[in-house]
Amino acid sequence: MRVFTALVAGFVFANQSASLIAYYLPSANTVDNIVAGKMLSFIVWALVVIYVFAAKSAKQTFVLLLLVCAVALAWMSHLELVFKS
Amino acid sequence: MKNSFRQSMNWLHTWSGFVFAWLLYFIFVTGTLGYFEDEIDRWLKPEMTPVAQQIDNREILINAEQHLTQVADNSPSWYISYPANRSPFVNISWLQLADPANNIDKEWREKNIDLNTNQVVDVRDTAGGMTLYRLHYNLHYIPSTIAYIIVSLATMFMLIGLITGVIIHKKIFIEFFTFRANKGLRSWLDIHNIMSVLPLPFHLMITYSGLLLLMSVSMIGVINSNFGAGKDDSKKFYKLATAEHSEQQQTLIKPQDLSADTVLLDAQARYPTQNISYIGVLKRTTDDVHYEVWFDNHQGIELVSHLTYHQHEGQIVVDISGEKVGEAAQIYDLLEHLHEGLFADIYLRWLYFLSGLMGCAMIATGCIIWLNKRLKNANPNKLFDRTYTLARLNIAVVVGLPIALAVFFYSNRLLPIEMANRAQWEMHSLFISLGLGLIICLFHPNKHLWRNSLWLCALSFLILPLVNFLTTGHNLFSSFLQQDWQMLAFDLTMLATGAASAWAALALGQKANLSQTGVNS
Repeated sequence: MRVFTALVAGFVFANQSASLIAYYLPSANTVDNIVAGKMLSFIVWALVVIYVFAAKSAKQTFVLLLLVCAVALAWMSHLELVFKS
Repeated sequence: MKNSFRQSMNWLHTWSGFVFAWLLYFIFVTGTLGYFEDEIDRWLKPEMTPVAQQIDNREILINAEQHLTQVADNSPSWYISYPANRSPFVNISWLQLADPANNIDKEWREKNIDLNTNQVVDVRDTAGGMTLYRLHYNLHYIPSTIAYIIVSLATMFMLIGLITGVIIHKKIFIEFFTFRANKGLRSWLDIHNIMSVLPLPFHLMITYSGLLLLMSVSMIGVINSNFGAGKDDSKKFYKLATAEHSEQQQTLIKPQDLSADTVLLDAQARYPTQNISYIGVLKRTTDDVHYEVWFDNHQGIELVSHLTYHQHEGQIVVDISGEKVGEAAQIYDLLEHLHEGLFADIYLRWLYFLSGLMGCAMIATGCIIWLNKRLKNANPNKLFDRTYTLARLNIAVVVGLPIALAVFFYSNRLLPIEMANRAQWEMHSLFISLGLGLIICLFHPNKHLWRNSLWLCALSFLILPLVNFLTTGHNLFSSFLQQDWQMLAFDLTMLATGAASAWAALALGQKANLSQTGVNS
């Protein structure tokens, strides 16, 4: 359960955070922002993994990360980063 | 999960380290060899003659152009490589166009020129240092995209292992100075700590930058969502992400005088202190010929990469490339250069190599600790007991991989020169011997398995310089006399590796049973 949460949810959230970081970085160079977002996403992923394995309850952590990913997804679709028409 | 934060991190360290340990060991060993890619390549091509004398850039150019015209007049791209520190050879290479009628594929070809005789030297068909170095991320047999994803995942586990490793060591500095010899598990733990902590900055750098190098594959979703999916978009993204500042300057070269020779003179006048490493002639078969001049990039961490001469609005201009446009791209570049160590001189290169070896030792000792904690409760007499089987396979990887590399070197010397697909068979021999090692380790009695495999490893490396002498005539004395330092250093390194392995075999000599504390347990 934890392994699944850490690997899959961690990966999804790392990708989402990379997109969001890239979107919110101030520089006008979009491509460069994406590079920065991707570079930071590995650190995000590592932190998520550590958190998942340090937390008390596996189930709660899974639900929490699911929620976080869902919120991030909703926010990304609001910014039209996903589900583009 | 466990009672305390540190305990859960301990669990995470144990398992994240163990899951991909053998693959990571493979990646570390082959990657570490990659720091001596050019040097290994020289050994694999014993026919090449190193340039010892003072050279005249123009003379080499004229010479090389003559040879290229003979062998590759219809090729669109030529490169002439000049002697550099790590590769004291004059080589010509060209893009061979496909010729289906004669069964020729489109590929880059390279030949060496002997300056003493002015002849093109036929170099044996070999996988070369490059293939060996690429092993650590393309894993050779599987499609590269899948390999990149597997390697990225393993690297992520490595990063987690490193971070948790730091977390679980309260007294990282005190423990660093502790070494308890002959105390069984404690001794292995102490070695593991030294191998991890001493080069810790290297381990962190290499792991994180390794992730970054493959991120365009592992994090492709980000590009797709923020930039655009599809092949054209990803090509465009790559082009933009790696865009360099480029400055265009006028030259005094007249359009009708544009040639490799005039370009060489102009480049030397602009950068008199830089050593030239390559001259490229591109789009040769068109009216818009481009000439590239590349400088030797071992002279500082920031590379003055290259100059490109071409015609522009009736005049000859030069494009001078500088650093990357994006700030993140610059950081990426820095980490990439740190990972590859291209800027490193010979001393720093050895330090890289030693750090890499310590990384291998860190992974190997980690596996041994994991196994030894479990071997105590395992049954040595049961056929294919799970823990014992893992312990045997561990030896097959930890000692078997170096032996397989030695076999690769032997295959370079012993396979018939005219053999078809010779380069591929060199790689096949590496993997066949790795597989054979796995089988032998599964069926060898527990007793003396460590010792015997270490002796085999020692012998394979100690005999290698002898085989080199018997097959090519290169030996320690002749290499020394001819100042062929790369050949000499390779043979000496093989002897040192053999000696180290023999020492390990002797040290384990008395207690070489899989289950005895202090040896493998």
